[in-house]
Amino acid sequence: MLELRGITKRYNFFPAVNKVSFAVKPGEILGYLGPNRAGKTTTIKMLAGLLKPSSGEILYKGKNIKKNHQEYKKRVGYVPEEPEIYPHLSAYDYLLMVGRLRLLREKELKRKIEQFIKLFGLSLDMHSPISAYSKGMVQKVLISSALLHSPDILLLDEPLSGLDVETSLVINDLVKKLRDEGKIIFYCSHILEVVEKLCSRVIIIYKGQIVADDSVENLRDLMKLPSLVDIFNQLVVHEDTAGIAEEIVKAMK
Amino acid sequence: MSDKIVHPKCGSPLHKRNVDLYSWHGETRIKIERYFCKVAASTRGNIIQFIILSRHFFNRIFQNDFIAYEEEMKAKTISLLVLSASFFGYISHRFLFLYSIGIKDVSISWVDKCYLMSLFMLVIGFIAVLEWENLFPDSRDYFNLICLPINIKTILASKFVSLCMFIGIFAFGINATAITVFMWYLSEWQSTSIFLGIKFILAHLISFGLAAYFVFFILFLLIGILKAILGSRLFGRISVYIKSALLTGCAFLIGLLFMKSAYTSYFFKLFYVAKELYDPFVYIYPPLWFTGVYEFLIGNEDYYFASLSSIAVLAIVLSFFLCIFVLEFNFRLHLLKTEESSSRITVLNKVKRVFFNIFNAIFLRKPIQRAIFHFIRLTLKSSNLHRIRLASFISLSVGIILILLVHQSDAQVRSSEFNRVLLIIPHILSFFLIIGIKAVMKIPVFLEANWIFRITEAKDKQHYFIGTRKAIFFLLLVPLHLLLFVIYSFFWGISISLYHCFFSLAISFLLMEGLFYQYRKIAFTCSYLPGQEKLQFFWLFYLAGFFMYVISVSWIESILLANQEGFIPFYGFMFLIYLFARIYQKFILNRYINIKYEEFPIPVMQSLNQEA
Repeated sequence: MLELRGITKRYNFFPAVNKVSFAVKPGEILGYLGPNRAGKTTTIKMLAGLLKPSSGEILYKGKNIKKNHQEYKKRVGYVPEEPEIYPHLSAYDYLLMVGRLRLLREKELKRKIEQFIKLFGLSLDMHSPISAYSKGMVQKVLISSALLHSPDILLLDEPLSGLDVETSLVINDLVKKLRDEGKIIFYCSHILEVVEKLCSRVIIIYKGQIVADDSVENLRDLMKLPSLVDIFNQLVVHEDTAGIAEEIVKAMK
Repeated sequence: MSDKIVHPKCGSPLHKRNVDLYSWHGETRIKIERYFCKVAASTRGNIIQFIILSRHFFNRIFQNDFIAYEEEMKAKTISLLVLSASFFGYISHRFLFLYSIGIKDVSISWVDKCYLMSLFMLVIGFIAVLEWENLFPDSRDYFNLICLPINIKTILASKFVSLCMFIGIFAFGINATAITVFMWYLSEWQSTSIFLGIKFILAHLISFGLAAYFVFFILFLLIGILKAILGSRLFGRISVYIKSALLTGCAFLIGLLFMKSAYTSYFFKLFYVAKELYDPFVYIYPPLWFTGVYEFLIGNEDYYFASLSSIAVLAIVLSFFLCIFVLEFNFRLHLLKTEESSSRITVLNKVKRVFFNIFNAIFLRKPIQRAIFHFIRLTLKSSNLHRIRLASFISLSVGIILILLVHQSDAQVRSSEFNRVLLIIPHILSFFLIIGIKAVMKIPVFLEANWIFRITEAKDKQHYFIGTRKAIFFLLLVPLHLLLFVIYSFFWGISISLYHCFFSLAISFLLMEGLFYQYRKIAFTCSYLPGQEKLQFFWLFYLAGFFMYVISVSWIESILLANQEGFIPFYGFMFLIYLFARIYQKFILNRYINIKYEEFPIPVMQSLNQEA
């Protein structure tokens, strides 16, 4: 189980994440939602080990990850929201480098890379520099790099960004299969319809604090709203979106 | 009729006199009117776009990764201009001073002026080559501007004009002091004629300005022709080497002219003889053309200078029009194509793959070492910025070597002295290569992407640093020494050159180990704060260190070469030192290390005295 206890992250005394606590079990897909600047990416970066919490602890299998950070990071696969990836490397070279950094055996690594590249339809471009790739292709490379070492924990921050419909469906099915394999999946997305279908439980975060933490069905029953979009709007959207759209059109003219 | 009538078609207000046109019957008149309204509006629009783009391209010139990282360029440009103005002013004083203290200039100073013109054109050439990447519109210009309603000709014209402005500023800046020197020493100042002074200033500005533009146009043509022949991809790969070669050549020639060795003195004296003999040789040396312009403008009635100025004008006009043609041709040829991916696996790539599989199995048995080695290899292969920086260090070492060689041949010393120079060449090259790669590795490549190293950081961190050192050794030092071995074999035979190159390789290996002893970063992944070396304060110590290293190493080698049995105990001793250093590093130094991904500025004040 992956557990966060009282996690806080402050930037210049401002809490981007404020005393967040939850747990994710193996075989569970946890949806993590929130508007912009709610603290989603900060939380996910702390889970990935890229940021240190200002306070609180993260436990994996009951042990604080700080005590054995290397072992914990070996079990984590991370797909970042921003596709920050070395543009001068090809997909093949990048995945080879990631696999080597993860201490995978060369033969097995090359076999996995070739399979991922084939399955994601990147064979024709695998030796071209990533700078020439479309956004969707970069995303496929990032997803492949996160799965190379067969992680137990998958942190997905907007994994469907830039993907075509077919690949998005493949990823959704992949996530479900990984859940059935007993992986812990942490799924951040703005596409609420997908989250509603995929995730057994959702957490809604707003201004660094959790405002909802339950299954989608329970939340619907509790708030007497038909969909996750309506729940989200009720809890975190405080602006008149139609009014703003009208103002934008007026400004354009 | 009122003055406030508006044109029915384009809506602009019509003057009373124009309204009278309507007394003409005919759509034709209205159509012509409409056409001129449109032309006037679009011309005005084009002019505004041209001005905005020229300013934009001019500012872009100051983002030169060769000279300075990010935003330091403008400050460094001003420093460079001040330095160049002082340098050129001093040189002008050195060569023209004699004309102010008694030697009358009866049309004899033109050779000295030609000398100064040559130096000036080389300096401009050096600066123009530094801006090599900015000479042509690149893909950024294409993607950002082509979707806007801007005429391609406007884009190209504004790019060209911005470069001309840059060259003009440099040409003027470099001559800022020299103008006064020329005018003071050469203009018979005793006549106190202000008009004479102005004439000299204008002659100087025009002739040197034309010379600067000529150099710029020629370089522009060279790049344009190379791009057209080689294609943008191949040109992109080899341009850094061409640029480095040109920079080294310019720097070497500037050094040669500055030192005014016997060769250069002899070369310039030839012009006197050639002029007297009406030798066509004098017409093929470009600095002489612009010296002719100078002489012609100050009123020298010698027909020779008039003909030289005609050649100069012709050269400028021809090169200008060729530049325009080449610019448009290249833009259309290369930038209007969509980028094609090269996914074909060629035979060469297959051979490379096999080679690296064998190499990895022998020298890179640990996966992390492999990852770091190939990351460094691919970054150096693809990143222009890093290659340029590394090439600048190599160019500096080559320039020093060339000057040493010329100095030796100039002095006509014995061959043993010449051999001593040959002996220190590998040490100079490897020294600059190692400090160059260390400086280059500090510059990150796409810093944001270093998260992958952070989240995959292994427990045994020493493999990251071993991988880095192996990359430097196998990618840089070994190829350098293989090349030197081939070259030295021609001078000294295979046996001696083998001893020599192996010794140099071993010493440079130890130098690398020493300089990277406490290296705690993964190359190209740490943030970079320029200026931490504090070169302006410590340059003397670095220079002293360099000389001590080169002299002591070549002294040891000359002793060993005289007594070749000494090599074995020497290498044995070196190996013991290396082993001890490695053990100390592994068990003591590297036990608790953290890889650095971020540089922090050095605090100016260490503490505040709160009681004061």
